[in-house]
Amino acid sequence: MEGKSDLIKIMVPAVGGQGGGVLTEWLVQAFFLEDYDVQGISLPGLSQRGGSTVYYLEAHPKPESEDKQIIFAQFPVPGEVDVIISQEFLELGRALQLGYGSDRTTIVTSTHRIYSTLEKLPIGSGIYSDENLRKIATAFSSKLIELNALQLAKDNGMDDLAVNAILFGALAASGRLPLSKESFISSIEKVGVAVKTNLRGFEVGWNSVSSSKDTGKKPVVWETFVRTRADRFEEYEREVYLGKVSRIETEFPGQLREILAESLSRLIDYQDAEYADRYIDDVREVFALDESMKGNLKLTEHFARNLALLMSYEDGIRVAELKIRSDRFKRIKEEMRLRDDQVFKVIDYLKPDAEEIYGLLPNVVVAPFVRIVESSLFKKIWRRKRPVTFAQTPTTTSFSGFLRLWLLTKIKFMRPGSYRFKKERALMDKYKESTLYYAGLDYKLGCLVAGSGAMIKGYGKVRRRTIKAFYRFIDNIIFPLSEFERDKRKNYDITLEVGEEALKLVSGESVEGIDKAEKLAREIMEQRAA
Amino acid sequence: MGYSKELLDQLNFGEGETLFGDTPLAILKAFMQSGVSYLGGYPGSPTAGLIDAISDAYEPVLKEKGVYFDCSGNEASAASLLSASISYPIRGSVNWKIVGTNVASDALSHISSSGVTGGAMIIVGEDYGCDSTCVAERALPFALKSTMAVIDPRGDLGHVARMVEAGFELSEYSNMPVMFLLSTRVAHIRNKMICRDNVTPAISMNHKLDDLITDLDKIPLPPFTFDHEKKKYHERIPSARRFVLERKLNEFFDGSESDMGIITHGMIFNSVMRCLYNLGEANLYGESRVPILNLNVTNPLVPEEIILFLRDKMAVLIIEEGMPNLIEEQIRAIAQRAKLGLDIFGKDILPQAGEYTPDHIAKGVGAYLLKHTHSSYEKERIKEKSEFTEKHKDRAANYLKQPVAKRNPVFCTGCPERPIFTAIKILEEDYGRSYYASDIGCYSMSGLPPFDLSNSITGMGIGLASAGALSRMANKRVISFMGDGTFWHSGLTTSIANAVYNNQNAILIILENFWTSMTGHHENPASGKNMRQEGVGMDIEKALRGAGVRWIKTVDPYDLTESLGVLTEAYEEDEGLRVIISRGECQLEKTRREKVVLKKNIQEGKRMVQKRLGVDADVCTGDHSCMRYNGCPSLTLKESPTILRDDPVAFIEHSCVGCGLCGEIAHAASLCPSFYRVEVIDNPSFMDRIGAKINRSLLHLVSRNGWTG
Repeated sequence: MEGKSDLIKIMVPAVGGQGGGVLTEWLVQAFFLEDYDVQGISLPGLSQRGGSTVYYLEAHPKPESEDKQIIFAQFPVPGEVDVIISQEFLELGRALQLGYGSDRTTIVTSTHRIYSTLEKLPIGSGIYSDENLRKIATAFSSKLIELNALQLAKDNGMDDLAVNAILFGALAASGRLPLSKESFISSIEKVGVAVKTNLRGFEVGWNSVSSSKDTGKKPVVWETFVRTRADRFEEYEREVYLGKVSRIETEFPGQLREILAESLSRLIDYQDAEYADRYIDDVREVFALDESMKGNLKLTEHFARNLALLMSYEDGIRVAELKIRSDRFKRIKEEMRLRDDQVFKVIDYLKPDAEEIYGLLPNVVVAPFVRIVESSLFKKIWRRKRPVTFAQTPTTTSFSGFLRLWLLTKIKFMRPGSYRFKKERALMDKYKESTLYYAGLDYKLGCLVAGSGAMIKGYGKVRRRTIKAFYRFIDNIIFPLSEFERDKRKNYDITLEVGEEALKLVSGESVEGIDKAEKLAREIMEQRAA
Repeated sequence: MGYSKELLDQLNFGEGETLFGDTPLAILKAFMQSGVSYLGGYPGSPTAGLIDAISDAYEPVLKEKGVYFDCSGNEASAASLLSASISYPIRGSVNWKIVGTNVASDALSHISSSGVTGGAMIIVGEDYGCDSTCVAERALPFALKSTMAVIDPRGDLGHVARMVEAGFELSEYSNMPVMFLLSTRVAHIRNKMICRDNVTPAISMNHKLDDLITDLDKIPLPPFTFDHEKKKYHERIPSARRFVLERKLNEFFDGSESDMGIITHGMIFNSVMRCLYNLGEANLYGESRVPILNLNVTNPLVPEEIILFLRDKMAVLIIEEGMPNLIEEQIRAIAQRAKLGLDIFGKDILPQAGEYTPDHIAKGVGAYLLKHTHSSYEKERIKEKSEFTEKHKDRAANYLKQPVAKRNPVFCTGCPERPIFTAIKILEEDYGRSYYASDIGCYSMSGLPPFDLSNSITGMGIGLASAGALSRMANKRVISFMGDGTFWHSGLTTSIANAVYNNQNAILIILENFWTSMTGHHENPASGKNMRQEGVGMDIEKALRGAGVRWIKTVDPYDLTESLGVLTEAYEEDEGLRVIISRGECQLEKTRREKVVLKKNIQEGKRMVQKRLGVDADVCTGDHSCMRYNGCPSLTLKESPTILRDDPVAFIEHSCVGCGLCGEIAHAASLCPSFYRVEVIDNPSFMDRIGAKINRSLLHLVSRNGWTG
């Protein structure tokens, strides 16, 4: 009957409790100010607790005749929404996935993320890809305005809720709505919530769009990369470090040097220069194999990263060092946004278990005792469900608390002879041997094994579990499968496929994923054998 | 939060003035324009906003007008309030969410049987889209079985207010209580409405009744009940029909295609109009090619009206949201009785389930239009347009190979309920999983990740009782959760008295946070005051003792060691009912209140200590174990500071309120040394500053690294 009219449909996908209601209210008032008929709909419901939620608004110029009345809809319709203002990037993706975006839609979105619970749980990374979100946003919009509103808020000393005003300003600057800048501003004043801050936020948003600066990350220059790491050392170590870095510059290709420079600084800091040399020796060996196989350096890259992490395993000494470092307290001051006129205390939650403590003692002293403790006879007598732990909460900024940790760092020289070191060394050797062995069989398989080292993390029992998972991954999955394929086939496709699946399982919600992975490997072997 | 003075002042507006606000405010204004004498209700979505408006308006506006506001203990108490209208010309209204109707139904049956003299209205939150904890049910069948009139308004603020006013008149005219359906979307509209003068009630707290009537006819006991039954069908329903017809409460919208027609109801009208607009069949002003009958009163239907609409038509589509589709079935019966030989379509071509959004019904409406369109060009157009949304949705849904990550609701930052679930999760390592009988409240979310601690949710105050048989027949420990609001709503009798009476072997954890938080922080008996802000002294522990519970322990939820100890004790006991009261105020409410005080104190130069938690990014190895025990919104992820690690590390956002749970978890579950607590002192005292100075010089002496704190 009538063609498309002046009806404007605006949707606000949001995360509950982030002030989407106020944003909707501003819009309602802005339209009222320009004599539109408006209907805003907010949906608190369960959303006050950080679930996903949607606000919706429709506006239309006042009908010319008095007895005509606009009939508004209470639901947005997929494919019919004109403007989407999104407070958070994932929620934009969700709205678009439900079809609310189309080639008629202008999108104004913040690109910051508020991670959902499900993204936080996996042992590996469960974060949804920004790339995907950008892809769908481009495909389902006529115009896409993106800005990191949270970062802008922080940069301008405003709190998280200022995101709304910044987006509101960006929307005004986009020129998509038939409203004047004055009406946008008056609406903020009229609603009366944190008016001063929000007006400032509005201007920030307005300027970010109208001047549209490039906010992309700049690549870090190599020289700066090295300098920031070198500057953390005292004079002598600094020279040693720079010397080693200049050696890797000549010896290794550019693709590896950042990882190696980072690893060197980490290991010199962790133990000493000699220790770092040992690392480079190991990497060199893998690198030689990589080159001889004409690989794409992925093998060396994985190995260099994970070996550095394994070699700098977090023991009490390391934790103590990190906890009493002067730049730690500076960082805390910054992160907590503390001012100089405030006094602050830092209290740490430490709870090493027995193994983490006796592990620091010399191997010769501890090893015989551990052998007894780990014997089945002892376990029969000493029945305990939970490991023995020593909980403490030192005030690290106080003299006594600091001293406790400081003294611990002074036994660093004992580390190479400690019980724990011996155990960790065995793990490193296993990791290196496996990488070399499987890379020798097949380059891709080598990469998979080198990459699997990343599954080892955590402290105490968590770390012990992940180490166990790593051994089981190599011995019970990769080894039998590759043996099988070496005999029967020409390639290692099954090993690779099952191996990758196993890594996914282990980096899921529980290390116990290794049980499933082993079962999978067994089943496939049986199937193939039959 | 809440309604500001400026908003509430509008309640005194007179004839012709324009009110701006949301639906609850508009409804409250309509109450006053109708001269109500009493209000009540039990908060729940989507009517919680109405309780907010009433409770905020009580002190400044309602009290002086003599309007009584009942902070009802549950929906049954609220419903029974309507008894005041049985024998006296007193108008009143109560409200609750859809599932509350189940709790209220005993009172509703009796009041509906007696019939009312004064206008009695129940505002029921019709939440068919299930935007809160509820089931997909409608209120209409309740009204039909108890003979109550039902008003289902269009999505328009002014219209909602007019229908409230009409509802009171309808109730008085027909002697039936009226159910007024408030759907989630309509409940949250923000718009303007034109006001009328308020009416001062003749009987109120200011003008009390002197004589009370004893009218046996009104008592629902035999033999009078049979008279009631007769009256319902011979007097009340016919008079209601008359009223609806005379007052033209249902709306006809003419159209050019006189042999076609659509019958719809309430807010679905708005969806239908938008759907027709998108199909090119109507404009935005309700002018459509196909005539429309919109039912604002869905019970009783008026046969004359329906027949008038159907009479000259060939085919009619009934667009009715929800099951059972009682409107459609009744209209089919009316047409059959009147021997009208037309085609009637409904749920046969429309979706049976789900909320009727404009896109959800598009295909069905298109199919109906196609049946009576002859031009092939038109057919093509309708087909294309009605299928457009579906195709567009498919394309969007399948565009990304990996679907966008889900986001489920979570316990708030610093929530005192969360630690208990953490403790149970930690104990699962030693004791295995139990049978978790959950209940209705924020803690229903314990069933979601990261906790996954819920085997059943059966209704409000029912959790523990629901495990009655399994307590005896399963080799599992039974643990049930209950909030303080739920305890006083019905839990004390339905679950606790029942458990003691049956000597049930179970653990009940009462999460006492002093507020009914899930609905938006309403006072409950545990708050120490009611919604009129009058102090009350009700004590859960005393009530438990009175009910015969012997094993009662109270814990501080933020002290995980204590909770773990008490829980272990309860686990080991394995006999009778063990009740653990976890007492900690709702953090959202606490922070909201204390933030103001803190800010003021700091400005006034008082020494204030604030706590906040942090994670050392270089100590964290990124295994995310803490996340799997915690679930706090402020505990999140960020990029690892070293390029050697691909996986993100833990990070605590500035929104942290310093409850300390992260640190407690790191200890209790022996996780890692990454967490730390910072205690910040604003306006430090002389001693603080001197102490800090001495400390700093001592530290410098040891570390020689120029440490500057």
